[in-house]
Amino acid sequence: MKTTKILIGICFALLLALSLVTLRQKEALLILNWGEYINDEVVERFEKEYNINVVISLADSNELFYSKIKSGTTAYDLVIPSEYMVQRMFESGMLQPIQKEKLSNYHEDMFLPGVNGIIESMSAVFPEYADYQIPYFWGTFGLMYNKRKTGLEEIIKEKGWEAFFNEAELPTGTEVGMYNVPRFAYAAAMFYNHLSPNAIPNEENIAIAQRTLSMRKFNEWGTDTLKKNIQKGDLDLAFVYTGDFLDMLYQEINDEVNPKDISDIAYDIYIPDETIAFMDSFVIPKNARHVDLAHAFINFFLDPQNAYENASVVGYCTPLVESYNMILAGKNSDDKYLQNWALAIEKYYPLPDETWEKPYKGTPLTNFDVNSLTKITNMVNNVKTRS
Amino acid sequence: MNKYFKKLAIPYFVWLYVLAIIPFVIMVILSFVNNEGLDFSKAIFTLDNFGYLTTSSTVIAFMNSLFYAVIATLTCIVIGYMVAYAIFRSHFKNKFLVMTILILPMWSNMLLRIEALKNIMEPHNIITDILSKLGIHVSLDIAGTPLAVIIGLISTYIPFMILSIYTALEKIDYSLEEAALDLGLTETKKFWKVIFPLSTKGIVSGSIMVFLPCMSGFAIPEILGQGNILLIGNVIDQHFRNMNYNLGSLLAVVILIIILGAIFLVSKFDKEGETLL
Amino acid sequence: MIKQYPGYEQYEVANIEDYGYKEHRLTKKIFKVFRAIVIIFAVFLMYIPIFTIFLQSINSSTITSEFGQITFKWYANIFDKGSLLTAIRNTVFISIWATLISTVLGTLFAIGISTLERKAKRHIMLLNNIPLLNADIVSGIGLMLIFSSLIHIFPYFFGWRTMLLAHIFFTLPYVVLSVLPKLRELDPNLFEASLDLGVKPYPSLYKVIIPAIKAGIFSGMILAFTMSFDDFVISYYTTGNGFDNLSIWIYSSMGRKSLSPSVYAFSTLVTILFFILLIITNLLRGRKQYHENH
Repeated sequence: MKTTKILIGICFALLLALSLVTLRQKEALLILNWGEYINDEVVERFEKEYNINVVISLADSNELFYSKIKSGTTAYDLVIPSEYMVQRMFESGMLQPIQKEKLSNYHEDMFLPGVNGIIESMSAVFPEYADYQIPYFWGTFGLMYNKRKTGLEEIIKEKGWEAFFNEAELPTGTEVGMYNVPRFAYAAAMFYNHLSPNAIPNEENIAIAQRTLSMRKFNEWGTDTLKKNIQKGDLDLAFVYTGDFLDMLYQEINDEVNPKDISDIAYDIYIPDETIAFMDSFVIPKNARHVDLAHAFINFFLDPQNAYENASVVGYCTPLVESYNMILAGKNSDDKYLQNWALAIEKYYPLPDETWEKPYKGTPLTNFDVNSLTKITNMVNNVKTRS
Repeated sequence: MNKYFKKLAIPYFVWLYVLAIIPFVIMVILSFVNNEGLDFSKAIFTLDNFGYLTTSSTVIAFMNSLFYAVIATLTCIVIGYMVAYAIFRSHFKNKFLVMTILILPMWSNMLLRIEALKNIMEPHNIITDILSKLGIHVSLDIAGTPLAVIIGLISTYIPFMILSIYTALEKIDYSLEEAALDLGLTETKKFWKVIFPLSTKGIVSGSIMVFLPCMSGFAIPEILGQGNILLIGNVIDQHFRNMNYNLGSLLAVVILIIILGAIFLVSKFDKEGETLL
Repeated sequence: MIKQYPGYEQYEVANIEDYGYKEHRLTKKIFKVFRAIVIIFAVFLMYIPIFTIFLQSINSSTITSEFGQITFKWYANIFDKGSLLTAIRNTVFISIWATLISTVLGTLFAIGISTLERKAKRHIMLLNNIPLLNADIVSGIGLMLIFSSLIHIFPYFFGWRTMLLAHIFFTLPYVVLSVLPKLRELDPNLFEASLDLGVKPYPSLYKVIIPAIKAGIFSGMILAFTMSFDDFVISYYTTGNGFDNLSIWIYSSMGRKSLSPSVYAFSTLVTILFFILLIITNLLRGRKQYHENH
């Protein structure tokens, strides 16, 4: 009996210790971010420098970001939504302006022309855009394809969206995936019909989109799983972020055991002219508890060296001119990995030249209201459940 | 004992009302309005949400949920009964131990198990990789199909069925079996006339424990169906992600009513409230 | 075959049909084979996921579809990955406290329920079954809705507090359902006897009733812990402010690079741990019986 009592006593003591540790955590900076969208080592350096815990919660769609903040269940200090979601959050009164005075690393002309271009075009519909966000990563969407599938590469480069939606155009047995965010699926359907992805989802457009999306059965509706499956070879073609493709590429050129050259990678991406351009930015919600620390965090990532390291694990394009140039400088280094990285960035995120109409490729999305979103979601559900 | 401890039950009444009934009321209210989240300041009373119930995707999602749940439950009953009965009839010294080892997988995280299953169901995975190194080339490509979802549902919930049936079998008085044998029944007849009827409670409670999560879960169809297969749980989750609490609540209320109906039926069938454990 | 005994040739070997039964030997054999296949399939189906998890935990490659070499570094790594460790800690914290609280409360509630009259008892048992049978997602949403309405008073209410309440909510019915049958089997005179001997009601409860229903309390506790430790949907909807439990962590990281194999290592360890605990409790029980019988 005595031994049991001692055992119970020990267990209880352990429980109390555990409880104290769990509950008395250091004040934490709460960030809501996309998955695999930040370099944990850079975050750790920030934690050490400012002596604060950073807790990063994940979500995989802008709509989920919105509902997490709107529901108020968590007081996030920083969120990283896409441009159209920044607009929506602002219109719902959920954001506070970013005080540029607190950002010592901020200066005019620090961003790439493409970024400035997007800010300009967003500001046309949403004048306060520049004051409420700081760019984090930007890029485009594209059609990622599996080079191992014979004939696929040529068809995609030649026909783009036509091939994506028309099963007959593709080599037999091509497995195709669509991004599981109704908004993007709608945009893809609009592109196929040469319409703007921001066309209001009235009855006519919804019908067009539903018809387009029903033209073929998609083997997978996913988010991060699409890029992984193409890498494995379980999927052949998918509409994904360009950064998704580069994520996988970085993994392979950076592999400890067997680093590859970009010419050896078994998959590639084709970026059509009609595609989505996006920019994800830092915003600070109104009920953030650590506003100064949030600014410090943003500032930390505006430092070109930190942004450079961040960009080494995130496949999206850094917005800073200096960091971009640092990456390109890798071409001259002896390190294979740095060379490959520079080549990749140059190829997939090229600087604009005179032939370009605007300094960036693709169309940024604008905000739709809840009813429109519900209609689009319904339409996608109808597509998925049709027999 | 009565007079001293009756009061102990009162806090539980309160607790259940607050946390089970009041949310139900809130959800019913939400079904009838059109507002954003829980912000009722601009709420408008409307019946639009009900119109949504008849859209094809909702109806199909419901049908799918029922279909998958029924198939999974029936398969679990057949397979589960065989397993439970085999252990019950076996000559292991410690049958309970054997059975618990059998359902040990139940104790590892469900999401990890589902993800592992999904990996196996794709052509390129760790097992095919190892096997191919040994020279054996097999591969499955069933991820994303209804079969995958059903296999996933069975794999996850069959331990409940086995446990439930085994418990019921254990409770059968052995003298009843002896009597049946004495009266001249063969083993098979004895099973169908004596043992099986007495174990029905186990089958019913096992079925409930399998059917309900299958019908309303969303993680398994989402992961194993690769986004293609929509069950009603997925649809509800989608709506809550999109901040459309109204539609989500409406669907949740419908499910709740179906479940309450099932509970009511069960309580009529078993007056002592013993069915569940 | 029938044994050969002297003089057997003189007698006809009887068939089963002669006794009025049907010949089913062949069907029985086929059925036995079929049953064996089914059982093997069932065991295979249940074990293949955890076997795969085990393989992943010793896989040196982070690409889940390739097997590199055998390595145990992920086991050592469990304590390095900050967010995983926090998630594990949070899960253990919530599960243990929720189990303890709901075991105590559940037992008391069950005792109260057992004393009610028929109508009231049916009423509360119906309510009790709701958290059990209700779809996870409906419970989760319901709890989230009602906790949200409290946000105006406690702005940072969501987090470990709400998750703990939610876990207590869905584990209480399991405890109640485990304890009630044992209460029913209890000899009603025990309590009266204790009172007669001069012990007051509540101490009697503690000294007489509780030990008698120990088995029910224990099985309720195990059941509660199991359901709480593995919970995903309800925790997903009732958490906030960065407090993630293991299942939520896995769900958010699934399919991403950040699903480090350390989580597979952790899961394998937990499975092995449970297995060992099972064996130990059984050995102990065996030894206790041995002592009792001698």
